Amino acid sequence: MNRVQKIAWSLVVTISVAFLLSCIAIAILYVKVGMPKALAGLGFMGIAGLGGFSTLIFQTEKGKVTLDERDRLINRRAVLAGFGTSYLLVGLACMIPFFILGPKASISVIWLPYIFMGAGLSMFFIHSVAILIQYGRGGKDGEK
Amino acid sequence: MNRLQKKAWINLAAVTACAALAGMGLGIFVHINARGIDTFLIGLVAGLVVGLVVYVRSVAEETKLDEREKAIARKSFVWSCYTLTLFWACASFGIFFVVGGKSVVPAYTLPVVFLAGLFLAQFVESAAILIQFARETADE
Repeated sequence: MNRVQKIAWSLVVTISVAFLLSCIAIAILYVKVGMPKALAGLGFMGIAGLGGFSTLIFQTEKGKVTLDERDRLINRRAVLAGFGTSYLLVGLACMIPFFILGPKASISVIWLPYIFMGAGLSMFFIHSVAILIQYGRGGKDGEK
Repeated sequence: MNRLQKKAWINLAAVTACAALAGMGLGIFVHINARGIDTFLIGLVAGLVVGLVVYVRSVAEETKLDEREKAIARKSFVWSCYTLTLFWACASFGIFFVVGGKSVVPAYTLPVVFLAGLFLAQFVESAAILIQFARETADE
């Protein structure tokens, strides 16, 4: 497994664990205290930030070629997939409340940064998943 | 003017026209207070059709570009993605901090921010293509 795959795995694991724990916490808190206090469970999404340390943990090996043409092509396709998905999600998140609630309704201003952060997390997640799918399931240097 | 420069100008004109139409459409929706799942589905289908046409056209046109034009188009696309991300971050957090975390905003704020970001991104992409070609011509 090369450095890019290891970073992708760490991002997928941290974001998935954060999302899962948040959903469980919100479900439990919803039963106990109801909305909107149950949204405190979103605090577990902070675990996804640990994925940011992966570039420090998995350092580039000195003297080795970091990225070849194939790696660049894989990364380019993964970035397109990640940005495309996040733009689609932002579009849906912006248009659905407009049509469902009505244009003259009001929404809490907290939803604006929530939508942006959700788009950012989905971009990193889809980017990492696309990298892992293109490289295959692992093996040395992306061999299957 | 080569193919890519023409495409930049055409895209800029098209996105300006679409932004004007979308703005008028949003104004009409706000005025008549259009809402409901059927209105959303009509909008979704229209948006998906437009998106599909744009995607198919861009893929077909990319095959006609040479390596230099592809490199310029790629750099311009990256710049437009950076602009879009920065705009949405500034708009989201800017509105949050200006009006206050416990305030409310009208529901039409979301589509306005979304469509304004798309327009700005296309503007930056077209401008980046034209500027890069102008710099290469000036260097020659």
